[in-house]
Amino acid sequence: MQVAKTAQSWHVIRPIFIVVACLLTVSIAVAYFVGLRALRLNRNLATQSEQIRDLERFVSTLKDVETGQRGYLLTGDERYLEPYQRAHTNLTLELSELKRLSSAGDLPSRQVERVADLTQKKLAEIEDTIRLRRERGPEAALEIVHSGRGKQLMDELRSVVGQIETEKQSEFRQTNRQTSNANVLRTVTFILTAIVNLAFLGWAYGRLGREIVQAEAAVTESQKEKELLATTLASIGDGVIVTDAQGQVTSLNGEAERMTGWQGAEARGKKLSEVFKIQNERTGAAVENPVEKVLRLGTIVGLANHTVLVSRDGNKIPIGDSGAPVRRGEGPIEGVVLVFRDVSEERSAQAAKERLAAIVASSEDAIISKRLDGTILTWNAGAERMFGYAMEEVLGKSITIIIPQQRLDEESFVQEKMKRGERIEHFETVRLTKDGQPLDVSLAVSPLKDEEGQVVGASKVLRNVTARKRAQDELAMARKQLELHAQELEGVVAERTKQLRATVAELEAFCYSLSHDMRTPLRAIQSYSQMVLEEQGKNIGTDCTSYLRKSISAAERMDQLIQDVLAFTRLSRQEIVLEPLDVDKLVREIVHERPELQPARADILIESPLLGMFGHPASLTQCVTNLLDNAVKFVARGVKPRVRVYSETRENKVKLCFEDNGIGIDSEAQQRLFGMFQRLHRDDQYAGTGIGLAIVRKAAERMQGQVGFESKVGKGTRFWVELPGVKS
Amino acid sequence: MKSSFSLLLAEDDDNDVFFLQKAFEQAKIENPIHVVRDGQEAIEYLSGAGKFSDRRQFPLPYLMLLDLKMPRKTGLDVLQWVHAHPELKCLPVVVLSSSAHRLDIEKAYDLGANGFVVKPASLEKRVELAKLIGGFWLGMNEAPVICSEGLEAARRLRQERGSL
Repeated sequence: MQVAKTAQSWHVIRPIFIVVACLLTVSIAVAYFVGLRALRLNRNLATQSEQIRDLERFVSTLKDVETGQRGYLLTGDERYLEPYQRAHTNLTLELSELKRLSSAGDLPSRQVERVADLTQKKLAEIEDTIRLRRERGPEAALEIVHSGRGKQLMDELRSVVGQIETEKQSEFRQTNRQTSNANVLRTVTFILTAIVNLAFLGWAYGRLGREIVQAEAAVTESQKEKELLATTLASIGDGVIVTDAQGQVTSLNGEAERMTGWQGAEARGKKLSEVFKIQNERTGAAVENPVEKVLRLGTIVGLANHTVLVSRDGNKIPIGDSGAPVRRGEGPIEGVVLVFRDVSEERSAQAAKERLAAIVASSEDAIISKRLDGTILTWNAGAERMFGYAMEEVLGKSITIIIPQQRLDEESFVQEKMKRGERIEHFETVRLTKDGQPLDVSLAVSPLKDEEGQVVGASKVLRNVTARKRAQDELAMARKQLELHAQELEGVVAERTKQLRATVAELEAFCYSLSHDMRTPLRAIQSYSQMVLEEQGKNIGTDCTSYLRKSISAAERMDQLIQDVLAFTRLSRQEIVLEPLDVDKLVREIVHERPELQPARADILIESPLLGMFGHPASLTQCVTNLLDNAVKFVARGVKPRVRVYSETRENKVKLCFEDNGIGIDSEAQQRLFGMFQRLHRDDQYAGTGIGLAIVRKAAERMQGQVGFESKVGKGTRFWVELPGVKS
Repeated sequence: MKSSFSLLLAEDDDNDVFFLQKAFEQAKIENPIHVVRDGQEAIEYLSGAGKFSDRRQFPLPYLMLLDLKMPRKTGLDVLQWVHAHPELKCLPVVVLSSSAHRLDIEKAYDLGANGFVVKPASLEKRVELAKLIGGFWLGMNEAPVICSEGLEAARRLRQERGSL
């Protein structure tokens, strides 16, 4: 279209150019000839004015001759003859010039001849006078002069020259007029030519400018089109390679670059087979170059299946492609455009589809799909095996053929759920085989949706659970038996527990009776002995009072023993809940309450703050009391007990330590120290029941702690209780 | 303290009865101490049944000292019985026991006991106890109507005032 437009413009412009060229030629020719004429006329003018001047000079020279003659005639002085002679020479020269002009036709020859004749006569007259003057004197000469012939000659001469001059001048004026006319014509022609030139120049300038703008716009547009094409090519998701008619790559788009691994610049000019290497996916054999095929056949060609593109770095990409010839109209093929795309995803989707189909086909379960109205659409091999119908028998039939009469309402229920797009998870039911046998099946139904999400049918998966049902029944039986066994066992356990409870109850009753019934007689012994002592002490003598005192003391010890045993059993049985304890406060309260721990009787040094511990308040109180009692009790005679109480922490445990200045414990005795009823000393040395440390150990154990000690005979003992620490 | 305010001691052990009486004697507390020898007898006394029907001879006490371990009916049984009788519920009861058994203490208070004391083993402690009881329960303490004016008055008060 652009080309046509340009042609059209040219069509218009050419005649304009021709006309303007003719105009210019004519105007230049006119100007040339008018100029030439003007030049010639000018030259004529110059010549004519020269001739007029010559005539005037001639007359003037003639006068000079006459003047010289007159001077000589008057004076006789030879010196006057000198200008006469010079003028005479000049006159001759000038006359010959006039003659030359006359013979050239510039002056009228007749008149010039007359002038020449008159001049001869005049000169002759003058020479006569001069000769007469010289020879005869002035009168002779003057006589001639007086004759007037000289004057007559002179006048005549003047008149002739004047005629010539007048003639010449009118001729000059005419030439001058002609020259002016020619000049005007030349100026007009020049101006006209200039105007034509300028007009054409202006028009050509505008025209040229428009043409340039249009050309530029055209260039920009074609550039844009080119860019659009390039962008389009680059944006295409498919690879595009274009070759020339020789099958050499001329361009490739971004996707083609990515897939082949060749950059456009590198690939350009290479044979297509070098850039676009393809082979059969399975055999690895090279596949015919599609471009060659296109060039050979001149038609669009597709690619065989299972073609892979081998990229520059050796990657193999499965592709689908087509090649098409590039030609203008019906012209010859100018190249080939090759379009190809990566079909890996399609391929894998296809493979996945095939796998799924294979799974469905090979499944042991019956997999059936049906329309919403129950028409069977697919029927897998599992269904064939399970129900005995071949696929061809059931396709297009209703699903109700496998549903027992009494369960038909299940199907309408299923259809309702499907319409709502809901699934049915395994529910167990019964279906019929081709020969009418009932089958226990587990059924799962899912709605099938089309691309818009509309429910169009349902897929059913049925599993034959007859075997499982049997197994379940057996399992249920086994479970029942197991339950029976368990019940028996529970009975046994309950019986044993009952017995154990009875034993515990007996033990409790024993303890209760210990604390009540056994202490009552003790109290009686103690009280009566005391009363005897008080009321009859003076009458019974010192021996008797001593016996009574021992009896009281024995009773007291017995009571203590009972209390300790009770404390021990209580610790063993009591339910213990651990709680964070303010050990510092607990220890201080114990020390404050007990008389034997007061400063008067013992130095108890508490290194505050004692760290908090997790324990049971009553149990820890028991421990601390017993340990402090022991610490102040077992000292050498006459030594004031000194006990240092302090905490140690290790990891997240806290040791509460009691370091005394007592008698120490020998290593042999250390083994049985924490045993029940273990006493290391005779009663007259240190009184005690032998239960205190057993209680301490029991209490510590119940609080998930430990007790221990280090001791050296004579150097004192350090007892400790270790319990979980309280994090501050 | 009025010396006419009586005490009821429920105790099966002769020795303990003797020791306690002796302690009150020594503490110079001369209020009458009525003694019943088991729980059943205590209930009979309180309900004025049988030989205890004469309230002038066997008046309702200002304080009952109740042993826990007794034949026929235990001290806890007695407490339960008292607890079940609205008009007797107000009667002050201090339990005497041979041991500070936790469960016993809890049950006793649960059934309305007003005190729980472990029987002292020594003479001195017993006299101290007698003095404390005399000083507090028979002296300082304001007794309920049932003690001062008898069962009928208490019952009437209850009827007048509804459920109190």
